[in-house]
Amino acid sequence: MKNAIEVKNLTKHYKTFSMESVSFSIPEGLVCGFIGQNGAGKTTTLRLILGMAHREGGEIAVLGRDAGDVSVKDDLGVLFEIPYFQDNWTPTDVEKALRPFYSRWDAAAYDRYLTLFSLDRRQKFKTLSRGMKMKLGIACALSHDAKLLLLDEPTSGLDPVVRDEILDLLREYVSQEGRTVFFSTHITSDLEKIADHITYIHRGKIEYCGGRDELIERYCAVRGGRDDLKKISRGRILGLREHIGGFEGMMSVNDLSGLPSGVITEPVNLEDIMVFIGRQEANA
Amino acid sequence: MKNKMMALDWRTVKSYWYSILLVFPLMIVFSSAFSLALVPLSVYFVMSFILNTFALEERNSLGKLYLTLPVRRRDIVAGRFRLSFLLIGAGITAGALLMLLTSMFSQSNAIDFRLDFAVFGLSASVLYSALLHVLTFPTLFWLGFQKGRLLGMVLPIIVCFGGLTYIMNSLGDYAAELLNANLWFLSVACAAAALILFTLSYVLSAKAYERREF
Repeated sequence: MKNAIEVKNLTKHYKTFSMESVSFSIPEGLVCGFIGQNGAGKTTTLRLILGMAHREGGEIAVLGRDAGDVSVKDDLGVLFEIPYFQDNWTPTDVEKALRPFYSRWDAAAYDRYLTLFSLDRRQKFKTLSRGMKMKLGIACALSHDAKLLLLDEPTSGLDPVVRDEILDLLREYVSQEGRTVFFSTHITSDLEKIADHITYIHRGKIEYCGGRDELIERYCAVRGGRDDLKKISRGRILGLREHIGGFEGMMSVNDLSGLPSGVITEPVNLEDIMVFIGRQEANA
Repeated sequence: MKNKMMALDWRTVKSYWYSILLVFPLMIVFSSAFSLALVPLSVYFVMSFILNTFALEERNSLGKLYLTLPVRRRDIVAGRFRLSFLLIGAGITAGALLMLLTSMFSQSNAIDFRLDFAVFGLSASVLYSALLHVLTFPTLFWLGFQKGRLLGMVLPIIVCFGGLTYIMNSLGDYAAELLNANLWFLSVACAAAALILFTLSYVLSAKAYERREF
């Protein structure tokens, strides 16, 4: 399988945050979720991929080309938490502004998306609701035959109905051959609906990069009484929390053998994994 | 790509398009009292208008939009320079035409048209715009409008007017004599200096923007 994005030994230092030798790859043809807590390095990684920030070391290849090659951006659809358009632009102005830059801009597709999203061509950007602004951004990202969508928290702050509409669009987009979505979010429930692949970044380090189901199947939640906890090595439990009734935490499925009979194990979801690993760091 | 960026910058200042038309009535108002200053005035108004591209870019985070487009950073800088040259050219032309009209129709007949004086006026105006450019553009490309406006907008005013006052005071009565005797030479010198300053402004701006992070 070809990779849409390949990041090798990416390094970037800020005063309060560092990314040291980050490496991961995103396979082509999938919806790939990029998860992590706020400040984990998701947006920084996307900014480095897009050349908005300068990397201090490492290599980034996008669609088989060096990320610094501007022709790559003809094949990218990019959307941040809010689309960056001039406040007074109307959807018509947005089209006039962007169309000249893309070799495969499809005016009919743009028109179709505006109709689908009930966007008025004459309405100024500043008067649109947040959901409508995001839809306009998505219309632009999808109207130039992009091979890769880079989305940074696109559903953050949107109501469930709009979020669901956006996820449907992404599902439809990726169903066409050779299309990839790289989707940063901390709303893990969105990824459970559509993501095939997960990259998990924590404090500037990649903790996991692989199939979503493999990640979820790697761990399970455990809970039990105080007496049970005495019989388990605490180091095996991630994000251990003790309370009056007993304890709860997360364990690798490889460590489950020999658990006391009173301990209950349950499947985890992406949010549980993020919470328990985050708590593990805090406990340490 | 440079022309596309120029067009995008022009579209960015869409809400200010009408304000540039105000330059002409303003200049007509000024023309009766300051006909000799019409060209520098028009350059100043045009430069003020161009600064809107920096202000709006920052207010709407358009720098981030530009970097998602298939353009190089130096094309973004070059596009803004082209727009500014175009507008400065239009401003100087309009100022010169108004000055000519003023001299033709002024009842007091304040100005006797002289070709060497007109050419010197034009080249001095180009030098003036180049000086504003080199003091403003690299700073704003480097720091952005919010952080750079004090340095990029106040400094040029201090340097231009302070420097001019100092030169005129130093030369005293000799200034007019010197000007009159060497108008053609000074015109060429101004044009050459402007060319150097514009080149310097572009090189510094491109370097500053290349290093900037969004």
